[in-house]
Amino acid sequence: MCGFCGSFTEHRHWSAGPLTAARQGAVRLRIARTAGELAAPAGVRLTAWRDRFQLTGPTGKRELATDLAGIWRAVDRLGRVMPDPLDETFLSHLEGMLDK
Amino acid sequence: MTSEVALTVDVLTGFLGAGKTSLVRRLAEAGALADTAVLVNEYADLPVDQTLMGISGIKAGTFADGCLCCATDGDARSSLLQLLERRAAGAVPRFTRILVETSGIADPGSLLATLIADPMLRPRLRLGRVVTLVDLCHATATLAEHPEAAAQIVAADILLFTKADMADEDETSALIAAVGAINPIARTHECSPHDDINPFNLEIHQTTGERTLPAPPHHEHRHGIGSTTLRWPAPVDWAVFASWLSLLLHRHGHKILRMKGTMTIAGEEQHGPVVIQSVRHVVHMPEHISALAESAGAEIVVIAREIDTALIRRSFEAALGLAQRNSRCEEDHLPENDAAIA
Repeated sequence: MCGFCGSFTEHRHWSAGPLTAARQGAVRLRIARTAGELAAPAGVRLTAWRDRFQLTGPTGKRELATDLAGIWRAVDRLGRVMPDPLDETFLSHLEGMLDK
Repeated sequence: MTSEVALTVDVLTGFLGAGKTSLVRRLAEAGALADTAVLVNEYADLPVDQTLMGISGIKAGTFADGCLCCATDGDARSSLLQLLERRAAGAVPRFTRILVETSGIADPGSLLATLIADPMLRPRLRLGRVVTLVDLCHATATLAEHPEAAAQIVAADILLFTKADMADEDETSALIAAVGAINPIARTHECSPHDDINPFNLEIHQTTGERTLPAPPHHEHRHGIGSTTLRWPAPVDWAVFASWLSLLLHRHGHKILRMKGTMTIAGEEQHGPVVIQSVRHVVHMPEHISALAESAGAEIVVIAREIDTALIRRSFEAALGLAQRNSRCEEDHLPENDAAIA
């Protein structure tokens, strides 16, 4: 079983690759926080929920994702906009957070 | 699946006439392909004994040194699966490595993505080196006319410039500079027909100080291809980097042609740096390497098409800046277990 996402397949998302097993749980929580900050402009909230991530859209609709790839697909479905890390508005939002 | 160690797959690419078949022939004659299965699009020119075997409808034969040679109709995935099944059944010599020679007009990007991400191949195969041959006599014109030639250069871990004995010296310098602008990641070598270089034995995880071609901080090239280097001076917060990179590739993976570099992960410094590599939207499983990284943080070259690469650098720096801010606020207070926070 994948120690990172908990799935019973041999598939592991690349983001779990370099981490020692002891740190994977803590990093998953950090991913929930960081990906949540990146998804915030789309109006999507993100929390770690057991071995998954729970996403809540602006209308209250919820989805679960097992890894980062699933998170961004779900954000596209749930959110008001599709976050683009190279978009000027998104970058300004990100850079603005550094000053807070 | 299988508990066997994954077989290494090396890839040989290069435009028509660059010398791929000649290189395979020379390596076979030198005994450098023993225990190797060679998968080629056309092997009529190779000195194989075709009477020895057939692999379920695809042509196959052996070189004098026992190396297995198979022809593929262009569907490398099914040919590889077929080859692995025949190996498991004991129907072919038990090779320990595979060399795929691509078609001269192929963009190898899809092959590399298949090798990295295909659920049937991934547990059984491990991508080794990608060697691209560049014909010094004709590559200038080829690059101008064929985007596939640029894609082959982008894919390279090692660029081997062929026909150095016949090329004009001034044109060679200009061509090598142009190729270096397309792919500042690869190591480069020049060779003539009688050189006995084996490009698959060359080390590829060099640090930037050993790079043969200069890596410009920001460079645009024809076909809309540009490159940039992402740098961060300190160990990197993995959660932040992974979140940012996954979003970048989710949105722009078709234009982020390649990324390659090393990174030291905060909290994992004792395990050494990891190699970060991607081909379009597919990321290699990051692995720790024993070599010391030149940077204590991150240094990653990005090759992209039709994207302002300065924006990628700005976005990377903003994301890692966010990690620094978060660390200042609360890093020491994170829970260490898997407790749900929802």
